[in-house]
Amino acid sequence: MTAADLFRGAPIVARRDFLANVKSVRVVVISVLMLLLMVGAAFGISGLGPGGPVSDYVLWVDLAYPSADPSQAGVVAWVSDAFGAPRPGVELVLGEQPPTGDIVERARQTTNATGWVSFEDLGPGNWAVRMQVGLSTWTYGVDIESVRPLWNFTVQWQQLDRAQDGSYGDFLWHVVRLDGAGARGAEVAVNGTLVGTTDANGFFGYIFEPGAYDVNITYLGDWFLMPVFVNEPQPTPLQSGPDTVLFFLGFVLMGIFAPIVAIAVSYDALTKERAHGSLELLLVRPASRTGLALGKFLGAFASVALPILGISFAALAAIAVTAGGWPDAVFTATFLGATLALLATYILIMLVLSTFLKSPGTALIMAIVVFILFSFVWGVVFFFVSLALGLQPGTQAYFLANSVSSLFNPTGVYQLTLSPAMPPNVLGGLGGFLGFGLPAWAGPVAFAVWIGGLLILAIYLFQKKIA
Amino acid sequence: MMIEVRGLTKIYGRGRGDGTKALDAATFEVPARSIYGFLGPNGAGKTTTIRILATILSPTEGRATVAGHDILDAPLKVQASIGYMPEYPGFYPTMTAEQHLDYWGRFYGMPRADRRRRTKELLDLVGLGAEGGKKLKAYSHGMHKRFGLAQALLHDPPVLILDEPAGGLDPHGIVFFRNLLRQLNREGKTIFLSSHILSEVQQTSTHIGVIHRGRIVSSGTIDAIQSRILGAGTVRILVEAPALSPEVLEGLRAMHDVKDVTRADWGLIVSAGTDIRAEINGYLVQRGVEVRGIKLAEVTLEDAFIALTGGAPT
Repeated sequence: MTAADLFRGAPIVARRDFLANVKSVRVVVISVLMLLLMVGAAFGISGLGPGGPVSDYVLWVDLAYPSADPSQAGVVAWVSDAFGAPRPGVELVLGEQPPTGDIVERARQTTNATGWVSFEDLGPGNWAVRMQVGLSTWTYGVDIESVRPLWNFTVQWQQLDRAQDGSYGDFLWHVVRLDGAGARGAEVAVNGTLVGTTDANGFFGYIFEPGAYDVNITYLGDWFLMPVFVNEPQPTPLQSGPDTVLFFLGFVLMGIFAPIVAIAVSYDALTKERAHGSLELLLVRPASRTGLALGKFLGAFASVALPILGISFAALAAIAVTAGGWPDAVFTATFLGATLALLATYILIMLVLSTFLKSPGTALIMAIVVFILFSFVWGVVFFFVSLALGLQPGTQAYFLANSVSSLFNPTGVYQLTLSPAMPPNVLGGLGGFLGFGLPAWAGPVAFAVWIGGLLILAIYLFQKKIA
Repeated sequence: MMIEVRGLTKIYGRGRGDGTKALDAATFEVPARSIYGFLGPNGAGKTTTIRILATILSPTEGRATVAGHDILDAPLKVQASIGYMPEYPGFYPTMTAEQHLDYWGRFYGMPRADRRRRTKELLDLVGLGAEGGKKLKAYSHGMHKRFGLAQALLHDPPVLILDEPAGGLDPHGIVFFRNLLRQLNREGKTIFLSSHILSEVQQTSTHIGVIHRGRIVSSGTIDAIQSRILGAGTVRILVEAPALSPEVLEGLRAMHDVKDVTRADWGLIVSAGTDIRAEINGYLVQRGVEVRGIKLAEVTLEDAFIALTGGAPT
């Protein structure tokens, strides 16, 4: 038998099954639901955590008194990124801020080439400026007093964690003259040492190491003193950011729902054909049993992998929009690869089961049993078995045993594969802990063994048991 | 020979005790261009034999060749040489007949144009020309059967293996199938078919094989099978003579070679070892009995079947 004969029929079966599956109601419905779930979760989880992501848009709002007459006083606003680069073309809304409720819009302007807008001749009152970028909205209120202030400039500042390491050491200042123009050349001193001056827009940024400091800003003879405290890096479990969002999407959602999609498409791949009688007419075609097994697998896999990849990319795009950027490239690639491997494993499990299960009803029950076993029961069984073996939860031996037991569960292997690729900022470095005691290659190798072993078993069963 | 079967044995469930022997050293031959009717009661092993010849099942022991190709050593060549129709042909319910034939045609390496041409030819041949665009779930049983034959002919194979092709069909369908099979046989195809309908096999087949409890009890031409029955034992002579006295009956029973005499309203049925119609007629005429007719009872395939399997056909 030639190699071509060995795999004969595989592309033909794969093509038919792929086309039949992708057009089936169940794949369309599940794909749409999964898309809504993943993209919705990407939006929802992005909002979690203290601090939230660092925005690419920072709104600065200040008072402007062009003359001694308070009725000519107004509001100026400047939009920059987190590094002080102006953001032109951003629409800002000026409104009156009532004691309660939303602002009442009074004017609308777009930032000029240097990122500025000026709302003039407003007079005393409670005013607010609103900026909306994408799905995010910022609103800052300012009060125009009936008496012109005595100082020469105002200072706004932001304390950020651009490194996303839990240490808020990134300081941004915006210094504005009383007439509303950016204060160029204001001197910034840290603990008495000059560290720089503001730029033409009045912006200055400085990165502090953790510690306590006095910052003094001087301009046109006036000075402004502010204490600064920067904490040590303290990653928090729910610290947000693209990688953390992808962690939740991968570990929690994809780990649960990808098997559901794979099982839903493939649990009756053969039992349905057997029940319809079409299997008998397939087996008499000039095709090897190996080719038929491969074709069945590839057809189901392609019809699941395609929508899941599309959904994954949509979720990644949602993360990029809402969480401030794309997740880590290696983590993303590992997520995609591990998800495909997870799909392949569950499809092969279903294919193997359906070679000897006679009815679609039995196959459905077995599919549910397999899903519940690997997704939920496994952990419970491990807990009680480890107790019976005298392993104390929380000890190194317990975590090692947990890692090893995960090798025998496709969903566990999925997590073991993702863990080593997880950037250290996610879960405070807990990512690596999920694969405790095992090398980074343990997950991928376990997937290879699962997929290879199941494929060989499926081919054997196609040869011996299918009819 | 187009099909040669040697010592074919199939045991199901060998892993669970002794298993069930569905086929027991079956041996028979199917000549090229013949229509071979494969007869046997339910559970005799017909479908198992057919599924082994179609490469769906593997035998436990024994060998078989189809169109010169061994079913175990060259299954791909066997598959390319046969057209197979199961008793209950099953299809993908949401695919049309045209889509089915297009799909299966790919397995035979048929180019797209050939698949299209052949699809039209075959659907016209089986009377489904106007139904090709319908999904199979909308087909009736008879239409399923017709389409089952169409798909078996897709690649113009030299051998057709048909399991109960006329099963469940109405009289029109049976006639349609009979005529079509005869036509295909005239065009050179070897047809191997199983059937419960003995009269149908008698009208269609040139050869028959009888299988009983997994064993082939007879195989050959229909005439040879019937001769075996005749040669093996008993000839039934029908004597149409309403008025017969008990003495005459006793005289008949005492005649040489007579095994049994049974009274009927219209006369007698005499079972004898040989054809002794002349002797019986002479005896009755000598005793003044009015004989309206005397003839041999025809040995039907059903008689042969019952004689060979020891039971009524099912």
